[in-house]
Amino acid sequence: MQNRTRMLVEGGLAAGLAIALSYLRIFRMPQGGSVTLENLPLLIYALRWGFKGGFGAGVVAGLVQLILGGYVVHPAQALLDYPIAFGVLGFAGLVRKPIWAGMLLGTSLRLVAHILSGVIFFASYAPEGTNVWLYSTIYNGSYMVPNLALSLILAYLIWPRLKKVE
Amino acid sequence: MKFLNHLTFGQYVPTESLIHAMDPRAKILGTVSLLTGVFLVEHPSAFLIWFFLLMIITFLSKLSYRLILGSARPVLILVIFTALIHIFFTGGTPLFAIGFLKISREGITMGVYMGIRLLLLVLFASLLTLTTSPIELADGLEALFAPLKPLGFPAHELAMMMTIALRFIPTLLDETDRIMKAQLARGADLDRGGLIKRLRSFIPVLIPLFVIVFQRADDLAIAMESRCYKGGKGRTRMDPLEWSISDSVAFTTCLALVLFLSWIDRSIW
Repeated sequence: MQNRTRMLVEGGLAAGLAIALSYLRIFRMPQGGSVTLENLPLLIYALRWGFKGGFGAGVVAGLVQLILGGYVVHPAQALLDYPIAFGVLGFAGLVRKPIWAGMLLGTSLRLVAHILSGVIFFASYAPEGTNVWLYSTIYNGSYMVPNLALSLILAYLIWPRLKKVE
Repeated sequence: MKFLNHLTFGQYVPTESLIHAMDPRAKILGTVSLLTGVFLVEHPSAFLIWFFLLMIITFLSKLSYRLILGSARPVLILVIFTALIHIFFTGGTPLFAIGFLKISREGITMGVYMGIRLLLLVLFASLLTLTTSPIELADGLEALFAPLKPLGFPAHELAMMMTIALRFIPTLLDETDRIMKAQLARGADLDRGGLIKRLRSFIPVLIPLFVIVFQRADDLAIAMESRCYKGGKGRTRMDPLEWSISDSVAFTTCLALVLFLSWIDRSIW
């Protein structure tokens, strides 16, 4: 079997699983964000296939989420909150050992994408003088940090079992 | 199961209408130009025309007005919040004040402007997803990005992944549901307790789910290669996209409207 087809199919399924898991809210934060496991399949995929594949699968997951009911309030926000936010999870593929380092890198970059998107949104929708960086960081960090912790715990449980499957 | 029931998956409403029958490429390009148009509006009163335009497109797409307006429900809080922030915190000559909150004429104008702009952006974007199936959108995006292929942009690969993802999301949700039920039957307690307890009870659901997904990838890849899948080159389609004259007309109309409306906006008001 060609590795390429396998990589493509696995990427599609990882993106699909990410979306499916995004419907499964493990815990809803009081202020809006929710703790889900959507990052995990994409991070694991990036760790298995490297940065390029991981970035592609992430972009796909973002676009699918946008198509299935995302919202657009600003062109840069649409890119940053969907294709880019999920795509940068692929950076996990750059640091594959130890796996927590890659996952930390990918998730942190996703957090940065959301923070930037929040800042751009508020820059064009909030009156001047609001401390947008602080607000955006607190809001997005409040659910992305628990998401990371969760993904890390689960990754260490799932990773050895996936190795066994092959 | 209370986790995954009543899940509305995607927004697409299949009906036979002029808008539904359009080529997805024309719809994507048209939507992008309309969104740009909404973004360029400077005077709040111009939004009336845009709202009217939204109503016309909704009428042509044979969808109920309630459905279209309802698609903005998830962002309603954001819209109201944005409008209120502007009403209270924009400087200017105050009309009246409640304690430390001052409401000015400029504030009200700005609040209404920002709120409506946000609302219209969301509504125009959901017109696209309400009238175009996700698979059509994936095909449309592939075709639109195809010219970048020679530069090394993997348009086909991304579209194929998107199609696989869209095809398997319902299957994966079913799979999740089945595993959850299996674990519930064994006495698992999935929906009570704090974060840590819930998390722990989800582990026996997630591990089989991940293993199944990565195993299924193997089966699907073999199935595709047995049918001679060799990537995008030379691949034919069962329903090729067809750009007709009506698509050109529709897209040109959108573009012309956007240019015309933003010109009026700047020169007349």
